[in-house]
Amino acid sequence: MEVDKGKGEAEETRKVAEADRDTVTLKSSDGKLFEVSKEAAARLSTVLAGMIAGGSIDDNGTDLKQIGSEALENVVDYCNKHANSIPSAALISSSISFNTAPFKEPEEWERKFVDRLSHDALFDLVEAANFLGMERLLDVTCHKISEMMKGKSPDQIREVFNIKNDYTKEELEEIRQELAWAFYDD
Amino acid sequence: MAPPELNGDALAEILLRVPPEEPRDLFRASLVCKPWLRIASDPAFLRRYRAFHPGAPLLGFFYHVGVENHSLPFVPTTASSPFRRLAYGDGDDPNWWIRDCRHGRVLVKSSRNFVVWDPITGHREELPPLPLSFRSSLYSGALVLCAVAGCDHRDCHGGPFLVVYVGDDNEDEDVLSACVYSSEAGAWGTPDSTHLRLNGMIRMKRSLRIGDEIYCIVGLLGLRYQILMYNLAKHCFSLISVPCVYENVPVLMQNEDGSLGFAGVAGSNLYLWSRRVNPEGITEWELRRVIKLRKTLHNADVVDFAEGVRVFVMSTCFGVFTFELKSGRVRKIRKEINCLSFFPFISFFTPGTAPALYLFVILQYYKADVWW
Repeated sequence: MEVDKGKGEAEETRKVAEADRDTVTLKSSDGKLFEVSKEAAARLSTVLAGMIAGGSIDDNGTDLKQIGSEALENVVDYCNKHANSIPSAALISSSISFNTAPFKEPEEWERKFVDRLSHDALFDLVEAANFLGMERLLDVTCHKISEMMKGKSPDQIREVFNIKNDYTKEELEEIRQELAWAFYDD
Repeated sequence: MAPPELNGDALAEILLRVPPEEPRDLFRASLVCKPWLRIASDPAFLRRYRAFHPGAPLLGFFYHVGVENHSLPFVPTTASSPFRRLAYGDGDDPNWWIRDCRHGRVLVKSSRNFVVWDPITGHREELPPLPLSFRSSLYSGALVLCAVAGCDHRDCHGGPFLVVYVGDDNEDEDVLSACVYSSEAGAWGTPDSTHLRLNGMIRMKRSLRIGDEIYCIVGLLGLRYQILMYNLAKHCFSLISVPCVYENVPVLMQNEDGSLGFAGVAGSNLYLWSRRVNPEGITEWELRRVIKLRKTLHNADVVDFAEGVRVFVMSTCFGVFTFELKSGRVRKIRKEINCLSFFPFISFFTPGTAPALYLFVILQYYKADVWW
């Protein structure tokens, strides 16, 4: 009985210590571990916030099977940078009411953060942000991609993003005639 | 290496953030491949798209150059515009005027009746004749309004609307009447009248609606102009004096706090007034802002104020300009200054709402069972 009680207490202490830890460990699909500030993770990701609140965070690395290590590294990098940057009033308000607040322009550091990413990494990060419910990171990454599409023709967009055209020639011609205005700048 | 295949959810998130200010961008994106078109024209996606952005964008202005119109002049404020070569046309009747443009609808007065036109879908609805024989359709104020209470006008194309008409009575020039057409009733209501003699016409500047109240700038005997208010719910009229008389007729606007606003230019300044209740409980005009204008806009005629996007149209001897209230940005939209009035067209314009691509999507829907 004595031993069991001691073990129980140790377990209790370990749980308290875990709850007190200010980081969480995330595990990518390829088994790499990343540490991220618990506060930033909970503030920036609705999915991670739910896992932290629901106690489903694994101290040995919470499995995120849908996210590769490169994308997860970027997610963690973004969270840490976000935790270190002085949040502007605009960002604080947008983090409170994600779904209703209109889009806020990316801050300078967010712009730099997405500018250095390759197309592949950017697309992977959109998927990861979407999966983790990171509205702000989605805004920043998708904004970057929509900027890359701005003013480009469908051909140019396909080239930039390496997308296969599955329209037939006839279909494209038909649309082109109907939507001539969209293909030429005034 | 080919980039990863984006799943539909992530792709929708990207397309969601394509700014509505340049409608061509979402159209072009939808022509990249069929999965992109499927998302960009999906009604649920488009509802989200309209809710996501701060409001419907300004696509340009319809305007008048003369008395006869054979086509519909439109000056776009976007890089590519679907409306540049738009023809309204009314058979053999060139004698038609645009009287108002609001909430995605255009109010046209032909020599017969009023027509409410949706330039995006092409839908037209001709109204029955006015129950009164008004003196002249030009000496009047006319508005088309969305009839849905609390609507944010992102998505009310095709919904119920009202047309409000305020003008002189043909029988008695000391009587002013107002009449409201409801698309739901399909008829004009009983006119309201008041004894009021107008000197000349209700100015060819757009009238304003705030809540149940319609405001028009009117010319009166012995005075240069005043503001006529007609209350839609209480069926009553009142006159409001203006805070200041300017060289050119000012425009009425709704301020961000919901109050009635009044904007006029004198010299190098734009003066913005607000009608508010002071601490003593008296409603009075208050000068809220004085904006120093750049030289090209000195002594400008303030032609219109586009609600929602908060953009002024100003005309000077150098041309016609837009002036964004928030950013102070000035853009020349027209070199010629022979325009009589400007009507801002504010609306989302997306693949699902444009008839051409909409038909294409429907055809695809029936042709291919794979990608739906």
